[in-house]
Amino acid sequence: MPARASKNGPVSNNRRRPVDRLLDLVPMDAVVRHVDVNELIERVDVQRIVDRVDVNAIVERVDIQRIIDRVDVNALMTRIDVNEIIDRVDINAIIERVDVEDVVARTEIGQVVVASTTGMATRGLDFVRAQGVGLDQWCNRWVDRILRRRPGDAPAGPGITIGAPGPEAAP
Amino acid sequence: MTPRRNRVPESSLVGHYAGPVTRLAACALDIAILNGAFVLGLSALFWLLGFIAGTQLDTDDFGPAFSIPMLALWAFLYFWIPWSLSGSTPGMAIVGIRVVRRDGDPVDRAHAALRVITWPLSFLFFGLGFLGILVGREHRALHDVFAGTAVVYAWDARAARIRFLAQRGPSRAARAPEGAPSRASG
Repeated sequence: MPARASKNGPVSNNRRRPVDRLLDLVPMDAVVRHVDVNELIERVDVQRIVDRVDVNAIVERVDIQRIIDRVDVNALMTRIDVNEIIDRVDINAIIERVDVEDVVARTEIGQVVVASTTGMATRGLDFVRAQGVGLDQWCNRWVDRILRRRPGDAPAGPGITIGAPGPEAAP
Repeated sequence: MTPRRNRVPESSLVGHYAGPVTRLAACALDIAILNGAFVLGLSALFWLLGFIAGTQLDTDDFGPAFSIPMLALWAFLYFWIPWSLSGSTPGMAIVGIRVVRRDGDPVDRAHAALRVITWPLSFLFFGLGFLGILVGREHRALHDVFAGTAVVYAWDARAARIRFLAQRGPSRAARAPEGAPSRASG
C-alpha cells in the first residue's frame, strides 16, 4: 500500500497506529499556534544538543577556501580603521621586546654607527676600558668571596642599587 | 682569571663605583703623565730662562730645594684643576672614571683641593689608605673618606658594546649569533 500524506507527514498506512490516526484528526497548525515557542525553547537544554554535535566533522565538510574566495578582501580592508588598531597597540611593550643589540649586530645600521661614531682611538679605549672593568669585577668577586659578602649587598654607586640602571649620558 | 677578549659589559656602568684595577691604571697613567709633563715643562722653562739670561741652566743648578716644591705645586695643579672642572684627570679620562661627591654630585673646588692635599696620606704605612678601594663597599680610599668623594665609572659600557657589536658586521653576526661578547654583569 502506498504511503499517504497526512498533516504530520507521509506515513505508511500499514504502520499507522491508532494514535497516528487520531493525530491525523488534530489540526496541528492550530495547536502550534497556541504553543509558546519561546517558553519551549527555554526548556530545551541547548548545551546537551551542542555537546552531541561533532563540530570537527562539520568543519571538515566546510570548504574554507571557497568561503575565502568569495570574500572581497580589499573591500574588507577598506572598512578596517588601521589607526584605531594602532592606537590600541602598546608600542612601548613591543619595543621592549626588541633585542636592539641583535638588530644592530645583524643589520647595516651597525656599520653606519661605526662609521659615524668610532675611530681607531675609540675602539682602542673601549677595549682597554672593557679589560679594566672585567678585572675590576673579577677582583670584586674574589674580595666578596673572601670576606663572605653577598655580591648584591654593596651599593653599585652613589645612589644606585644593584640591578638598577645607572644615570645615562656619560660626560 | 683574566677577562676574555672583547669582554664588554652589558649594562652602562656609568655612575657605578670604579674598581681597584681601573683606579690603579688611572693612577699609574697620571703619575707617568705628571712626571713626564714636569720634566718637559721644567726643561722648557730652563731653556727659556737660559735663553733670556744668555747662560746654560740645568736642574742641578737649583737642587731639590727648588725642584721638590715645584713638583708638589705642579702635582697639586695637575690634580686639582681637572677634578674641579670635570672630575677626571687625563689618566682617569683614558680609563673612563671620574671623581664625584659621595652622593654622586660633581666635585667642587674645595673638595677637590682637600682630595689633592689628603691624597699623600693614603700612601702612608705601605699604602694602607688604598686598601679601602679593594675591600670597601664603596671602594673609597683614605683620601676619598677625608674629602667626602668617590670614584665612579664615566665610561658608557653599553654604548661601547653596541659599537663592538656593530663592528662585527651583519655577516659575522648572522653566522655566529651566539658568539656575541660575553655579558659581564653590571
